[in-house]
Amino acid sequence: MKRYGTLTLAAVLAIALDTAVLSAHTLWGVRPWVLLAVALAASVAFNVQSGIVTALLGGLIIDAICNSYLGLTAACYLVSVSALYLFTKRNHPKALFLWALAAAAALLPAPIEWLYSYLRGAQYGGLKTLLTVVLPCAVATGLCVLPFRKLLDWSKKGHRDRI
Amino acid sequence: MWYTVCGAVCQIAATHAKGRSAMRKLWKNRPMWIAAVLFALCILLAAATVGDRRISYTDGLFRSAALPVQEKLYAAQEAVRDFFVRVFHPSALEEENARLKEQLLEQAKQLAFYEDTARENARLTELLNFTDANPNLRFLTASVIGKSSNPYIDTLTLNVGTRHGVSEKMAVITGDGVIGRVSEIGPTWCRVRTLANDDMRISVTVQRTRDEGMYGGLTDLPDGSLGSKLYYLPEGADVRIGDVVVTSGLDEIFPKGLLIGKVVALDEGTGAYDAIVEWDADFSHLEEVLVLAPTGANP
Repeated sequence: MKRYGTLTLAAVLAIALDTAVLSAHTLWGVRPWVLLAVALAASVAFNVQSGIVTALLGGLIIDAICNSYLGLTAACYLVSVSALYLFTKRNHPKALFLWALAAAAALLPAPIEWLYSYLRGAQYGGLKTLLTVVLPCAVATGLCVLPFRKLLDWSKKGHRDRI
Repeated sequence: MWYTVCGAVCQIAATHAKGRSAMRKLWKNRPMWIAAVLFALCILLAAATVGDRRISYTDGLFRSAALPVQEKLYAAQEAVRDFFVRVFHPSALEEENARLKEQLLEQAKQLAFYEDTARENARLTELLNFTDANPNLRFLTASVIGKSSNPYIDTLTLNVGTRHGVSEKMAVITGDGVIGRVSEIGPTWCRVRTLANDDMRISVTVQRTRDEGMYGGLTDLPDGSLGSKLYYLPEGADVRIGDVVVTSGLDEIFPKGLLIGKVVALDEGTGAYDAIVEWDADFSHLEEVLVLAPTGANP
């Protein structure tokens, strides 16, 4: 249970960071999507199901808290988690490679968010926004996956030791 | 024929085996299918709220459940924002501080003005009540513009003088009673000798017994403060501590029945006075007074 406790704690912390801190305090609009990083780390460290559950529940909670369209964040995170699972299904990537893969996975929901922004009537900056905001955010998210993966690996190690 | 049947059976078996293999593949990839189904559900849920932003049942349920968390997180967000503003933008904080101080000062000024107006209103109402209660008397309203520097305030300066019809020895009163009388006069000012002046003399009556006497001359009260003596009471007058002393009207300066003070001590056989009177007026907080024209005068 230790590993799922750690995952829950990390997810709660990530939701708090995403909604209370990083939603208002960014560096030129760039911020990591911490809950996505936790979900990606869970899918790599544990299994894809853990990542899916974290992405789904965490995404719904974030949508409810941030008054966003309910389900949009969850859907985006599910795409990223599934993509990373497909990228890493047959191998266990090293840190640098995982960073790149996670960043690429984090980029995938951009079209969905763009579509919703368009439907909502928001002016989306297109390529410029993609390069100056979304891409750096995805890279930062990929970077955040590494410590969370370490944390979850550590909790898993304790579990294995007990077995 | 036999070969044909066998061939068909083998073909069906092969197809079935392929199907089973495909099913096995699908089963193996079940997390992806689950993710796809969940993704579709999430998209549908989000699409339901894109249109006219009507809150669906699920949406409402989630948001209601998240509301307490949302409140706490919003408070945390504000706290974090304040922290970062303090750390990284101290000038912004100083500006806000200066702006708030300015606002506070402005509001304090307004409050002082309103309080002042309210107090002035109360004082003037009191004076008005007195003038209404004495329709036969003629009054001139005056403001106190100076006070003597000693603690018991034996003289006052008013902003009215001969130009306003004030003359010497006119009585000065408030709604509470006697203040004093005009002793010196200029064109636009006059000086008033108050009840606390050693030279003040007024013909008075003890309200309860109707005994008449003379008020004047300072002396110490039992508690160490100053009071005035009461002389020339009739022999055997039943004056007691707490009796109210009012003007008798015999000196033709002060109208009859204006409050002077209360008896706080009686003669203890010294023969220097009959009683000691503590005046009722509070000279230190005077701001508006009435100057009273003697009967027959035309102020």
